[in-house]
Amino acid sequence: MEPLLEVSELTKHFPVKLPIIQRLLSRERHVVHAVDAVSFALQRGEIFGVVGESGCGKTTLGRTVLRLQEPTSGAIGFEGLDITHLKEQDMRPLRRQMQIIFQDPHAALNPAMTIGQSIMDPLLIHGEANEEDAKKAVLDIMTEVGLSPAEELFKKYPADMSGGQKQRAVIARAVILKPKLIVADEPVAMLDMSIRARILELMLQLKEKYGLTYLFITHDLATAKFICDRIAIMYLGKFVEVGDAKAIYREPKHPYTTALLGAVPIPDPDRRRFKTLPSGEVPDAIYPPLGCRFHPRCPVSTPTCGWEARDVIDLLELRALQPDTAAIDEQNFGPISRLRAEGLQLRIPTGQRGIDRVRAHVEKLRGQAPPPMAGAVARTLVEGTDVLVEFQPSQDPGLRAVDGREVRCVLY
Amino acid sequence: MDTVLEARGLRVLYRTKRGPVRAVDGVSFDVALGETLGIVGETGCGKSTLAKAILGILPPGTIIEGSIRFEGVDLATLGVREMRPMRGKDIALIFQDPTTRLDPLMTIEEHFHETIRAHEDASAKEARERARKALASMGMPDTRLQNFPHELSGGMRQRIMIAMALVMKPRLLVADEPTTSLDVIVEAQILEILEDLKRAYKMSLLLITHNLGIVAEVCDRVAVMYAGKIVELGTVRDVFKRPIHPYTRGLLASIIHLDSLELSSIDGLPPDLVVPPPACRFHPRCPHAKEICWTQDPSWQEYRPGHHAACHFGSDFL
Repeated sequence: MEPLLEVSELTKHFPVKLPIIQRLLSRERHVVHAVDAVSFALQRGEIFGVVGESGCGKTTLGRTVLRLQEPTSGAIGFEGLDITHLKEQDMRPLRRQMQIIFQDPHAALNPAMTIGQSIMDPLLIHGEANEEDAKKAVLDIMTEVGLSPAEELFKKYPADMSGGQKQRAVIARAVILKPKLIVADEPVAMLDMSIRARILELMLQLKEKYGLTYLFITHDLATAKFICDRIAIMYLGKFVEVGDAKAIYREPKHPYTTALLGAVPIPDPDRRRFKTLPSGEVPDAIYPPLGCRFHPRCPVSTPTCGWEARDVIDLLELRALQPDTAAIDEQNFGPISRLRAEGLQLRIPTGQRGIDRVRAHVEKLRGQAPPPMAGAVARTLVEGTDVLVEFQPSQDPGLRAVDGREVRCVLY
Repeated sequence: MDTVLEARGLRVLYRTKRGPVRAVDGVSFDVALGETLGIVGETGCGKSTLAKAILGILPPGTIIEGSIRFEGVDLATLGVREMRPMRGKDIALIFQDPTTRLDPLMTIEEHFHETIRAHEDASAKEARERARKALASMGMPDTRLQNFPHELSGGMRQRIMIAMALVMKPRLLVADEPTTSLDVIVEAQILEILEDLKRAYKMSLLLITHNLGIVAEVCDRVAVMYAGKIVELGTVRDVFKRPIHPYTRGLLASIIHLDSLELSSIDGLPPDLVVPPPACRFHPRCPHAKEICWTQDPSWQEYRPGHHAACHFGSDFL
C-alpha cells in the first residue's frame, strides 16, 4: 500500500548569522545542520516515533514535513503527491489533512479566545461549516476528548483551565478537521506525570476512531516505547537507528541508542546501578563531527569512525584538567589555543620548542590517547616550522540493514 | 544523627486578589547531616515555595508561619540582613533553569568572583584559583572562565551553577529541579556529579523534583507533597516499594517508564489552593475516599519506623 507520508533525503539547514567581519573572512557559508538527509515512510494508521535529545533536529523535522518550514533539499510526498515545492495556496487545502499538536498548550492557545472559539477556528477558516453546525461539532469533539461539561467549558478562557485540559483542547482542535496525519511534538512533556497517561490514551483512542497516523516526536524514550509502533533514534540531524519499537528497546544496536536507554532513570530503588555514560555533550550542529557524528562520545568507537583534528583538541582539554598532564602538554605544545584543527589535519606550531621535541610528544600522546583515536592517525609530517598530525579520511557509515532494522554504525 | 534542617508546622501564604494561597500548609520534616531528602510532587504542590522559604527568597509580603531551623537558627524569623551572609555560604541553591540565573553580561570568572567576594575578602587571584578548582571538579577546563554564559551549552551552564553553589562549601544544598531542562544523558552526568560532590563535601542535599526516577536513584528519603502538605515521608525503599498514601500509589503507578506494562493516571484535577478541599485534600481524587475523608483531617501517623503518612485508611494499605 502506498504510504501516507514519504520523506526522502530531507535536509533542513539554517543559515548562521555571523558578525560582518567573520562573514567577510570566512569563505564557507556556515549553516546549522538541523536535519540532514533523513528518509522514512509513514504507513496509514501507524505511530512513528522520532526520539532524540534537544537540538537533534526532531522538531525541525516535524515542522519541515508539514511545510511549516521550507526544506533545503529532499522531497516530501503526501498520499503520493509531491508537496515539497507546492505553493502556499495549493498547500492550504492539504493542511486540513495534516495537523500539529505542540508541546506547550499554554502557548498554543490564544489567551483572548475562549476554548470553544479556539477549537472552532479551523472549521471556520477552512469553510467547513457555518457557525451553528461548527458549534455543535465543537461540543461533540470536546465531549469526546474529555472536556465536559462541554457547554460550560466552551466559554472558558485558557487561563482558567489546567494544563491537561488545555492539551485536550489543543488535541480537539487538531482532530476537528478529521485530518489524516498528526505531527505530535512532545504532546505530554509539559504535563504532570499523573495525567500524561490519560492524554496518551486519548491520542490512541482518537487514532482508532478516526484512522489517524501520528508522527510522534519526543525526547522521552519511555513514552515512545509505550505509544509507538516504530521509532527512529535521531542524533545531530541524522537517524542513527530505525526499526520496530519493541525490538529496539529489547536490543538496541546503535551505541547511542544503548547510551540513551541506559541513562533513563528507573523508579526502583533496588535497581540503582552504575551507568556507563557517553562523555561530554552533543556537539555543535554547525560543525558536526566527521564520519559517524557520535564517534567523539562513543564508548565502543573504532579507528574508522571518523576521527579528526578537533578530537585531539578535546583530548588535550581533558588532559588540561589534570595538573601533571596539563604541565607536560603545555611544555611541549604550548597553549592549546595555538593549535589549529583543520579537518583531518592538526597543526602544531613548534615555535622555540623545536620540531623534534613536538614530534616526540605527539608520539607519546599517541601512546596515551584512546586506542581508536590513536589508531586513526595516518601520519605526522613537518611543514615549515609546524608539525602536522593527519588522520585517515573516513565516511559516514550510512544506514545499514541489520535484522530488519536500519543502523548507522560501522560495527554492523 | 545530626539534624541540619528542621521544619516544623511550616506555612507559606501568598497574598493574591482572590485571597491567600496556602502554597505550603503545615509541613514538618528533618534533613540529617550528609543525607539526601527528595521532595516530590506535581505542579503547584508547593515544593518550589518550600525551597524559596528555606533560602528566604519569597516575595515581600508573603506570610510565613511555623519554623525552619538550620543548625538551630530559625530561618523564618531572620531578616534580610541576617539571612544574606548565610545564603550562598551555608545554604546554597541550584535552580531549574541555569540560563536565566547567569548574568549574560558577565563572564563565568566574574560570576565566581562575585559569589566568593560576597562572603569573604578573597583576592582576585585567590578567587580565580578557587573558581579554577571548582570547574575542574565538574570536568571543565579553566579556559571556560573567560566565556560568557551564551557560549556554553545547557549542561555546561548547569555544571557552572553547581560549581558556583559549591565554591563556598555549603552544608546544605537545595536543588530545585536541577536537571529538568537537561537531556537524559546530561541529566545522568549531573546527578553523578552531585552524588560524588555530596560525598566529598559531606553535604546535605534537599532535592526537589517531579521525577520519581531521579528520586529512586539518588535520594535516601523522600517526602511526597500534595496541595501544600506532605502526605507521605519515608525511606526511598519504603515509599517506592510499600507506599501507603493513595496519592503516592497513584503517582507511582502513573510513571511511564521503560518497564511500564500499562498506562495509569489519577482522575480529577489538582485542587485550587485558595479554597482547598476540606480535610484530606486528596479526597476528591481518591478512589478510596469515604465520608471521614472530607470531614476530618487525617493524622500524621508512623506506620513503620520512619515511614509516615497522613491517611485515614493508611493501615488498610500496609
